[in-house]
Amino acid sequence: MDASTRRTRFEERVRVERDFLVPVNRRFGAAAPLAGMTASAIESWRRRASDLYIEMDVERVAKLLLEAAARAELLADNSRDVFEADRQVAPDGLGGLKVLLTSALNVPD
Amino acid sequence: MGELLGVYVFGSVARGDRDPRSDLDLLAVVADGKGKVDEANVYAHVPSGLSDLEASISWYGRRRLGAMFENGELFGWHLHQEAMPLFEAEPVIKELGTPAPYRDAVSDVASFEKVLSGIPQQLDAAPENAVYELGLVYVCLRNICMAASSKLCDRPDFSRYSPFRLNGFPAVPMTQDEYDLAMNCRMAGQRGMLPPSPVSRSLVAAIHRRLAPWIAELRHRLERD
Repeated sequence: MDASTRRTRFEERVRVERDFLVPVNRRFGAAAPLAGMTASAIESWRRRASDLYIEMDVERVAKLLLEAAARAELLADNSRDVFEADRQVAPDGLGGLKVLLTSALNVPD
Repeated sequence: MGELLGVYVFGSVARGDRDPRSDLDLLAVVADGKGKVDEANVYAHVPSGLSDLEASISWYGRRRLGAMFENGELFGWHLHQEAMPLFEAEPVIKELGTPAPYRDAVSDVASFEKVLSGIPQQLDAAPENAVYELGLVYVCLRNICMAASSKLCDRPDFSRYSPFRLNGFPAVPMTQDEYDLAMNCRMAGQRGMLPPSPVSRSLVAAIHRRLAPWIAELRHRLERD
C-alpha cells in the first residue's frame, strides 16, 4: 500500500463522516452537536440529545449512525494517527442508511 | 485463532508526557495470516498503573509492520522512536531496526492541506457542523507538523504540540487556547467527550484563514529543502 492510498482513505473517511454528521447537526447541532462517528461520540450525542429532544426518536437515529459507522468501518478506526495504513473506509452500502437517516430526522435531502 | 507476538505502548504515555487528556495507545503485533487475538489477551499485559487510561489498540501483522519500516512510513518512525514493549514473544520492533528515510513529507502535507482547503465551503454549507470542522483543523495541522518536523527538527516530533515546536520556521498563527479548543473538538469526535461550547462558524473560519497561508509556506519550505 503506497502513501497516496493512505491519504485517499483519510479523505474518503472525512467525506463519509460529513455525509452523516451534517444532516444530524442541521437538526441537533445548536444544542446537542454530534462531534464524530465513533461509537463513543455517537453514544455521547445520544445521551445529550435524548435529554433535550424528547419528541424525536433519538434512539433510532443513534442506531442508524452506529450502523453506518460499522458498515464504513469507522468504528475500528481510532484515527488518532491518520498515517496508519491498515485502516479501511468502506463506503459501499451507505446510501440506504442515508435515506433512512434523512427520514428519521425528517429533513429534506 | 491469532497469535500475539508483541504488545507495545506508544504515544504520550511512552514519551513520558502523559496528562489528563492522555489515553493509552497500544500496538498489538500478531502473526501473519492468523487474524487478531481476543482484546483481553492484549489488555492483560497492561500494567495496573496504566489500566485507568482509555486504551485503543492498533493491530498489525508482522509483515505489514516490516513493510512500513522498509517504506519509511511516518508511523514506522513513530513506533521506532516511541514503542515500549509490554510483552514480547519475539523482539519484533527491535528486529526491524531503523526505518528507511521518510520521503513523503511534501505529499503528506499537501494531502492534509487539501482536506483543510475544503473547510470554508463546508462551514458555509453546514455551520452547525463547526465542532467537527475545528476538530479536523486540529488533526490536519498536527499531522502536517509531524511530517514537517521530520525535516525541520532533529527528529520527527509526534507530540500533541508539534505545531508549536518547529525549528527555523515562523510560529504557527494560532494561540495555544485555540489549538486546545480544536483538540477538544477532535477528542469529542473520537472519544465521546463533551463537545466544547460554543464553537462558532466565524471562529473556525478565522483560524482557517490564518493557517492556510502558513501551511502553504511550510509546504514550499519543505519542497525547497
